[in-house]
Amino acid sequence: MAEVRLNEVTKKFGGFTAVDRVTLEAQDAEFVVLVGPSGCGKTTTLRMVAGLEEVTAGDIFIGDRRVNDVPPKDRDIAMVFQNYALYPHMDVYNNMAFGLKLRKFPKREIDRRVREAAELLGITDKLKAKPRELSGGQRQRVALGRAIVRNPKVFLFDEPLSNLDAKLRVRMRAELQELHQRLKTTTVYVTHDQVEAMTLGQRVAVMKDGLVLQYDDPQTIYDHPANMFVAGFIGSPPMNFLEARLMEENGRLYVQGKGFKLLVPEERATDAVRGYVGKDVVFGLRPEDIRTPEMVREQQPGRAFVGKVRVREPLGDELIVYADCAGNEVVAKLDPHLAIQPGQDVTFLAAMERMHLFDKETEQAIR
Amino acid sequence: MNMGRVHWLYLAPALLMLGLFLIYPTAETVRLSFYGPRSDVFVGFQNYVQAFTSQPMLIAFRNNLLWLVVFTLFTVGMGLLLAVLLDRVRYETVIKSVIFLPMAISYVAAGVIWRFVYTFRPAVAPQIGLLNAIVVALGGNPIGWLIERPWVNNLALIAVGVWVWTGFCMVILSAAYKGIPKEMLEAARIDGANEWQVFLHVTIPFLKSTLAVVTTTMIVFVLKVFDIVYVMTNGAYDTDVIANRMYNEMFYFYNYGLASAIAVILFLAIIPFLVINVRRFRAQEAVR
Repeated sequence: MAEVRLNEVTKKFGGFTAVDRVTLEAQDAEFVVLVGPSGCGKTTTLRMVAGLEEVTAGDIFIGDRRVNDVPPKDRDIAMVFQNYALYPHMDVYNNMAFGLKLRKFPKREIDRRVREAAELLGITDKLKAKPRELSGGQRQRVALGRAIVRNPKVFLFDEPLSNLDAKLRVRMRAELQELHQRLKTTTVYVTHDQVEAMTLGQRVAVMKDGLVLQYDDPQTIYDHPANMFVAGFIGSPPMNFLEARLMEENGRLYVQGKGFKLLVPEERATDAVRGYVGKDVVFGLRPEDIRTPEMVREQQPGRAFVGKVRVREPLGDELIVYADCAGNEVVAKLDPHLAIQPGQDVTFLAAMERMHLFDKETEQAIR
Repeated sequence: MNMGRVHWLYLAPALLMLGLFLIYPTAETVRLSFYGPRSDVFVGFQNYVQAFTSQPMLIAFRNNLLWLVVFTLFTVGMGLLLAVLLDRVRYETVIKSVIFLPMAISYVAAGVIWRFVYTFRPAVAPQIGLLNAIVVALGGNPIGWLIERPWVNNLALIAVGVWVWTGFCMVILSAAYKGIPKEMLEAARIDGANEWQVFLHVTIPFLKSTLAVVTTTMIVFVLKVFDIVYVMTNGAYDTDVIANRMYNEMFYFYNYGLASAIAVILFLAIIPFLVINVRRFRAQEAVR
């Protein structure tokens, strides 16, 4: 068991900076997720922790030990790869036992650990099979088993679920969570899938262009995104961004844009927000924070705007509506039982206490 | 038309060609091997007895065995080493092209080139051979590379073969090496393997079938080795090999019977390796 700390870690490939002064720490037994679009540097960061890439600048610590110059085999880590990277010429048992054999564990100890892990992962009947005889999910379990038997200080996962079909992915996600609760091994997990990030991570680092844009627990990231990128990346369908101007009338703040003028609630009118009065901002609203009058008990003033419905997507448990509001496209997540049809003009209500405001230039959140 | 017979119609041209140019000559060679030098007297196994007991043939057998072991070991071994090491080098393609280049040269030309390299002059004369020039420049006595028997001259000939064929082994093995998923090697490193253990436990097993094909290909070649020896020494100073023996029996001594017997022996020796090679190749294709 150990913590993982990255201090101002930078990785350059020639002139290209893949990872830019990343500072992160995963506490002992914590499950940390690095999430971001492809090319954001998340995998490179993970590979540096594993020792598969050299660090250009900065320090990486596992426990109290600075591991920059420690080869992968001496870092006491285990890694699970996207394509599983099983040894095709070894059966499942030997795939899992390989690391222990190299470390010269006694035969009985190896046998005990492999069988225990196989039991835990439900692959006991596959121990004699070669990887090519297994399904994707089973291979993934073997790869997990190979990591577990070594009982390492840190687990590193590099998009381990992205080669599985959607149904299996959901199941393995739950299994991974259960596994972590049981083993309590410090874990760094890389994914491009924001759902995986939200469901698995105790803390999530959102990365873009080699930078960590925000590092917080999932709910904080969702509720208080630090900038427009994080706000748009986390959440599905993504947050609505509307160009607007902050106005003050009779001591009250309004966000005004094409086709809407909405009242900023008193508790959200902080000093920082007031500083933007008369300036252009980006107004952000999550789809589920848009409702219709039928969905709210008492209506408050200064929240309504009108849109013409273009497309409706009923998902059974919810209804996604794409509407046109004076040239802006707005997505709303509504009650599925509402009788809304394309072409119809609908009055929407914005949950303004949950609105987001961003600086138009820096794209940073205004709080 | 009777469909049971029609396939023979389509096969006929190919079978005819095969029969005329492959099966008939083989059968005829086997028949001739039981006859005397001028193919008129039936002599039973006498040619075979001579092939396995005469002094020149025993030397040829010994040399072929030497070729088999040393040549195969070095071409495949160095090919593998180069394939793995060059994968980490910046100018990989340039270096590989240079090493592969001798494959484009005919064996006769290679033999001529290496005769110059090996040229020997008595110590008093200036050395015009590259190798002896170096030896003398370093203060040594010139060596009769193609004369000193039995090790120096045979190994010198084998070195030429290795020079020609290492590039071939390297290219095939390099292609296979590049097919190894990099994550698998990384997984092994994280599992605790050092570079040598990665090579031994992951790389080699992964390359197993390719190694087998390359090795058997080399063995088939080496059993038939002829041109290099014919051009460089023509078997003098105990450097003869089976194929060169066969050629000489045939075209210098006009002993058709003995030459045919040697051909049959060579043919029988190669068959097992050919079978292995074809089987391996099929298995490899089946996996794809």
